[in-house]
Amino acid sequence: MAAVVLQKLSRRYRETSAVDSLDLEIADKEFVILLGPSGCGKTTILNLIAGTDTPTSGHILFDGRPVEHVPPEKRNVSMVFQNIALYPHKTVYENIAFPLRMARVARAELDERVRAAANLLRIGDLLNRRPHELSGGQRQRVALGRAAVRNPVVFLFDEPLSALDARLRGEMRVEIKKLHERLGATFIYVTHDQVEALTMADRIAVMDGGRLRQFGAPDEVYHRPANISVARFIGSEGMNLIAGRAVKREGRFAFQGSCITIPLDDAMVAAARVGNGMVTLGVRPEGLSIGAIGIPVLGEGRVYAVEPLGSDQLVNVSYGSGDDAELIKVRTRPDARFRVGDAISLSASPSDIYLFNETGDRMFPDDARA
Amino acid sequence: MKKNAAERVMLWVSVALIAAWTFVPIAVMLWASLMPLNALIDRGLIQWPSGMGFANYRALLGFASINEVFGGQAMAVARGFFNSIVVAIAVAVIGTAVAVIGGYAFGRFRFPFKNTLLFVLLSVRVLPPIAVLIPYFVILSALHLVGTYAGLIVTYLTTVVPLLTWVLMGYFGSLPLEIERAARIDGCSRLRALWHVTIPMAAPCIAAAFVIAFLTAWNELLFGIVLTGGTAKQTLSPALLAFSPTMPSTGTANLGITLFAAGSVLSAVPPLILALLAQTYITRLNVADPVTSPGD
Amino acid sequence: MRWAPTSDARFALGIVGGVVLFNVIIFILPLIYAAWISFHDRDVILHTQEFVGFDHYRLILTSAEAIAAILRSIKFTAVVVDLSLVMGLGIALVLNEDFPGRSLLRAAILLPWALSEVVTATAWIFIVNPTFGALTGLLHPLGLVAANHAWINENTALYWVAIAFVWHITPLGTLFFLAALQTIPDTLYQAARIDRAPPLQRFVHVTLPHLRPTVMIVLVVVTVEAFRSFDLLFAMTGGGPGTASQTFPMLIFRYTFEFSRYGLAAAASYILVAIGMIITSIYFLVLMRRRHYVNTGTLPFDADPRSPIAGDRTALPS
Repeated sequence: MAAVVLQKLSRRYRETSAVDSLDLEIADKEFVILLGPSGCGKTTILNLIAGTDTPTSGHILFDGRPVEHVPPEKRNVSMVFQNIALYPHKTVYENIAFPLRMARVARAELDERVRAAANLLRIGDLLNRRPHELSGGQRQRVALGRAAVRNPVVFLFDEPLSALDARLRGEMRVEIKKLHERLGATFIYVTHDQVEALTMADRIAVMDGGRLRQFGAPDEVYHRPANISVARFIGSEGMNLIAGRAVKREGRFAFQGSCITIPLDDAMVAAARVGNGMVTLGVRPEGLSIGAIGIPVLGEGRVYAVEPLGSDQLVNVSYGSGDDAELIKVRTRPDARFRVGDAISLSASPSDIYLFNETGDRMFPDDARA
Repeated sequence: MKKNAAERVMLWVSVALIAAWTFVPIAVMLWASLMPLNALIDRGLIQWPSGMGFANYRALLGFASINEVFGGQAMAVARGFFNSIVVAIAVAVIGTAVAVIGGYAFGRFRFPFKNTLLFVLLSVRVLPPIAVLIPYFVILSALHLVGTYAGLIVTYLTTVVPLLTWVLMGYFGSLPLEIERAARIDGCSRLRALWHVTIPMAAPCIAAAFVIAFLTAWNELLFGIVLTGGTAKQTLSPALLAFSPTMPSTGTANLGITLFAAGSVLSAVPPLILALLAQTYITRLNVADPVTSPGD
Repeated sequence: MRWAPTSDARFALGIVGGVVLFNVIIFILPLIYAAWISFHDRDVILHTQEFVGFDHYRLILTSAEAIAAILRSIKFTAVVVDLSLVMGLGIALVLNEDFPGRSLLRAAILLPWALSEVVTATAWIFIVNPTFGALTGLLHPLGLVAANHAWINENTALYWVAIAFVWHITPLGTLFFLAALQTIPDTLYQAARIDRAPPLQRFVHVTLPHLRPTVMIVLVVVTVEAFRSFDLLFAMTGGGPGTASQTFPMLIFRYTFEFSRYGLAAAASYILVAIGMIITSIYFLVLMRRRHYVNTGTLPFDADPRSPIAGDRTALPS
């Protein structure tokens, strides 16, 4: 078990950099998830930590010891891959036993540990099969077994669930969380699925374009996104984001998007008027209500599409028309009825509104108030 | 996809034609090898004379008497068989081993001069053997390697290794990277990962490379003649050629023609066995690919 | 993958370097020696050597016999390449279809390639021999040919050898084409069928574009093999009748063993090698393009993400 610290870690290629001067501190026994869209450098970071790739500059510390020049076989990490990467010519037993064989563990102890790992993951009866005879979920368990059997200091996961179907994913999320509790090891997990991130992580590192955007507990990342990237990514439907500016109208300040006007209260105004006044307003679908209940009011729009989800509905509301039209998603009760083309007005309470400045950072609510 | 009747007929006709094209020349040779010589000369191939049987084979392998003219050559065929086996196996084993390492290095790493080295390596293939015949002979005889296994093996290796390296390079390059990464993370150094994981996964291609190397050495004629002709280590192709009528148009039948046929068939047996074994091995092991995807 | 150069990487590279070096020496030394021979006239009987400069080269390039041999080689190569390319593709297309016994046929198709050129010569001799050959045996009773019809004569010798060589070498092309055909996704054909394209159009617009790189490779490989081939010719006709089927390699053989004109042989070999080098360059240019299909798994600019193979497995940063 080890604390992992990344200091100014960079991995550059000829024209691009996959990772750019990253600083990250992961505590011992913590379950940290690196979350971000494909191509943002997450897998590269994992490879750097594992040792299968070498950084262009920067340091990687395990419990304070720099390991960036230590070859992977000596770092004592485990990794579970997106495409499983089981040894196709070996049985399940041999797959799990392989790392122990390489470490020259004695036969009796090896056997014991392999069976223990297999039982932990409930694949004890598959030990003589070959990978191509197993289902996807079973293969993933074998991969987990192979990773767990060694008691490594750090566990690395590279989008292990992204190729599984939804239900299997749900089961495996719980398995992995339980595994973490049982083993008490440091888990570093990479994914682009924010559901996995929110449900499993102790802390989430949101990444975009090789840079860290925010590092915090799921709660914090959801309710206090540091910038637009994070806001857009977290939440099962992304946050509605409207570009616009703060304007003064009839003596009162308001947010003016291309087709939407929202009156701002004093606190928001103070935040919005910093900089050149270009502001992005964000509000989550679950933070909107239908009808002019609270203030501020978004005004009237038209129902564009309805997405029934079973447990609730997503109504897509369009404001304006043509190129400037804005599409706002609002989450509402499953039994409400809407027809395409109906007029509809939305409102949001101030506590559900976010304001982001022109560089994308959150201005409101600012952290002094939180 | 469903085929209509016309398409199916065309398919079967094509299959029949292909089978005929492939097998008829072999069948003809096989047939001739079973015939007694006189019958062949008198009435040609299309017949079923008395005396069809394995007499020619028995003669070649030394189990039956044979007229003095060809006594020496017949023995040479049997010995040539043995010599060719030794040489071909040596070439296949050494060539494959070297090509595995070379192919892996070329297929996985980047290093300076890689392209130049590759170019040089492959250029050897283009060289006609004729061009280097005399130089090889002179150099090898200076080293006292003429008429030895070693001289011939080394010569064959120079053509075989570049070709095998190229074949294996392509295959290693296409193997999924993650499995080697997994092996390294599981505690293997590069070499151990190569041995425990990569090579077993490349087994089908390595088998193919082995077969190619064996065949190249087994079938080769020119250097066999020049480097071992007339010696105790003469290989099979030169030995066989003693029976060959090189001018079929003159019309005078060569007395050893049926023995030639029998010898040719015999010389085809090891490659056939090897190719069959390799085929089954290759198809049986085609499980490497599906395992990298977790989906069913 | 790019790992920091560790000691075992250096070790592996050392071996590779050693092997390549060994090969280069084996390759270069004989070449240098051959060049030296080509510039001297050796008299075997008197054991003398006389420097003659480029005389041998000039002799060959102006000798009618040599030019004829070169032209025959070119004609031979052209015939072989055309026939084996078309046949190889045709057979591969058939073998790509589904029919009972397909795997058996696929295995059997390699037979001509597995047999040596000497054995190939044997088989075809038995087909073509005037007296007892299969062709005569079949066609004579039907009254189509005379009893001793000489199938091989001055005009046909080269072509018969070419046909035998095609029989021997086509499996190589078939192998390549078959492998390439199997990488064409079925969905493309389905889309074409839905668009109501007839079989010929499907072939032209779906199959052929995918095969273009393979065609190049087969073209080059077969050309090289045909151009430098000797064994089959030697065993089947020995260059005859007369010099009707004497290709350039055959002539070089005669220079060496019949006339003992080693200098001439060496010079002719160099001319042959020169032509061969031109072919290697084409060969290598093909490989340069193919580099995109080899997954070195290193960096994004090394592997072409658009290629069907590298695109799946390249370790692109994510």
